[in-house]
Amino acid sequence: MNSIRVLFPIIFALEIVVAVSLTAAIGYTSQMKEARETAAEFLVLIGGMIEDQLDRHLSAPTSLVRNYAKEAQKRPDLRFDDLLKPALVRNMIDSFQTQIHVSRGMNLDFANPAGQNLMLDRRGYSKPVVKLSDFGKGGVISWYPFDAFGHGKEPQEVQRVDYDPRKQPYYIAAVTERQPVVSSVYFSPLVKGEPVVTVAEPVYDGRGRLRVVVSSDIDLRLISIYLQGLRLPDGAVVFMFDSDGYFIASSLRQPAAPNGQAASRTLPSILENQDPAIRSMAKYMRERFGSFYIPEPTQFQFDEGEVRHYAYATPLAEKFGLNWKFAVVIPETGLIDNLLQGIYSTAWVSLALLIVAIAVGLLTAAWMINPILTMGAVAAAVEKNEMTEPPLPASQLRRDTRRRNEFGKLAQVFLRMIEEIKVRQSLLEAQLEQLRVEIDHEHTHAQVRQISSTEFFRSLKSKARRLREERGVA
Amino acid sequence: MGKLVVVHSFRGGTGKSNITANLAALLACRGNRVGIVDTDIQSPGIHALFSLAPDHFKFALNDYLWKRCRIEEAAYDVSDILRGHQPGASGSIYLIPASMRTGEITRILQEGYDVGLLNNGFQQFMETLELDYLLIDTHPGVNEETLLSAAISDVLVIILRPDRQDYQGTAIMVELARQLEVPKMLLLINKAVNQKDFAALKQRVESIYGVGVAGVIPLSEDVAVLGSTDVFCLLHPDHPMTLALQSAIMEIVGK
Repeated sequence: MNSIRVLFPIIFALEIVVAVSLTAAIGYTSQMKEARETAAEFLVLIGGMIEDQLDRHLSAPTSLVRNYAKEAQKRPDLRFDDLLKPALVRNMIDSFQTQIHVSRGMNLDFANPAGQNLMLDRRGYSKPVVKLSDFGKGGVISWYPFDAFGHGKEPQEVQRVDYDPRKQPYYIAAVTERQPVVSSVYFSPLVKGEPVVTVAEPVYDGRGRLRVVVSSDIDLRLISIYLQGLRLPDGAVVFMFDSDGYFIASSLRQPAAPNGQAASRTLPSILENQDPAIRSMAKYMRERFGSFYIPEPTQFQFDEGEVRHYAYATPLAEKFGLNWKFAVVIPETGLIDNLLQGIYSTAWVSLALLIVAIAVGLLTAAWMINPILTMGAVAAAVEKNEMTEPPLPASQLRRDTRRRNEFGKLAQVFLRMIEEIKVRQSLLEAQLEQLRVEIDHEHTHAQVRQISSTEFFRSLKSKARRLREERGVA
Repeated sequence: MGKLVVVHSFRGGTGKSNITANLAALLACRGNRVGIVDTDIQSPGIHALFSLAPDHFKFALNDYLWKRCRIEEAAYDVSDILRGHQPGASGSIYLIPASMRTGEITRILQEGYDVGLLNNGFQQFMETLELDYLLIDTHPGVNEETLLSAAISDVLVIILRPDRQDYQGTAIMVELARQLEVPKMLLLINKAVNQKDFAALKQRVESIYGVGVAGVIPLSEDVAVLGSTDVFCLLHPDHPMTLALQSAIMEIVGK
């Protein structure tokens, strides 16, 4: 027999489990959806921010180069050697000092067709330096502090390389294009072999002869430093690559270690990046798009191991002629950590509530079932005719009559019924008793004999007879 | 000469005094002069039914038995109760109560009394007050006094309740009464349950004892509520108990 005492709490608990599960499932689904939407919005937002920042990184050198190229254009009589005169250099340094406040990693370079080169730079030192080289004199790069330049002092540092600006990609591009250009990524000896892109503009004289190429480098390291300074969700990676899949910069503290040596060096591929998320995304893009060329902002998801990642990739700096791409990758775990934490908390609270609910359910069930069980026990006692002495169920039934609900009323009716049964039973027993007119004749005769054999009785008998005769009673 | 009606029961608590008082009242209602003697000296009580307070009676049966008074001096006219309920009733009721004084009861228990004197008293009471009926309310059980009362009775009314003990005790009393050659015996069954069975019960009892059942009185809550404060039949003339007692009266009077 399935006792209602067991079934009732089970049904009650099941209802609660289903209700809690449904609520949790609906909550989880809706929160997950919200989290994904938030993630997508975040991806777009951060992508836009970085694009703006990068734009500023690229725009500042461009405008710097533009301005100096114009200045050079305005002064056709200005020769490259004039640049080395202290007064002019002093002016340029002052001007450059102002410019680099806009972009602290910026430099300014002048190269002429004779292989001479002058660069104003401030990277690597607390103060700006002037880097001079002349390929005609061996191409050694000499570093001079700004203050000391032009005073005939010894250079602060000498790079013994045969630097020829005319062989640099930016120079070749500018001369070839005869217009402002942005070079592809290359490793510049002027910045100690760091990967850079260079904004360059050639300046020609009235007869169309090249006078100088004004340029400014964009140091990819600075882009990485900027990206590393971003506040990103846990596990999130921001990185940049070009259309050929070469790694440019990332928010991770990993050097853009070049492949190969010296002039033949190339950027590493994102397919070989040491970060698994970047690697996985690169593989996914190659599989999905066939290349790393992404013509428009794209959102997609991919799995790295068992972790789902949300990615946003967009073309970058197209107006500068760079086929760069920018990507943000956020693992689902990082995105929804808080959400999961909330869900776990909710789950624990739900579990606690479930236990409480089951306990309450059991108590409620007991509270509801006990009167029924009591009535059942009383009915069984009545059935077995064991109600002559007040048994325990009857006292429980009397207690139940004090309830102010339907059970109380039912118990009252049941108790009245029991009392009525008892009364009727007693009546029936009395009826049976009164009809059971049984006499122990032997006992009766013995008693009568005992009395009638006495002298008193015999005397009484005769005396009574005499008295009646005297009174004339027949 | 009036009829001596002795009301007896084998056990106490059968309603003997109550029935005696009611029989007396019903007889008086028929215009009879009725006397009652409470011979239940050990546990007297019939006077309460007639609202006769112990303080109001100078002599009791005990005084007669100790020869302190004549029997008629211990008799009290309690007819007022009769006329209180039935103003036109011409009968009378005289009651000789037993003493309620503890000392008197103890003395009777310790020393006994002259049973012959009691018999003489009955005769004298009947003659002096010219009674048509003298009802004796006896002490329950079988002793010299009850046997004497039964022996000299004209009608012996035995009250019994329908239970095993009363059936057994009544059988002894009936047999003794037969041996004493009591002229007439009646059984009155009191406190019976379920009126539907009364006919069967009456028939069964009569066949067992060979004695007529004058009436079967139902167990009545009304009687219990009234208690010993009044004469029930006068208050409830149409009650089943009254009807049963009327039936007994018919037997006593003689159809």
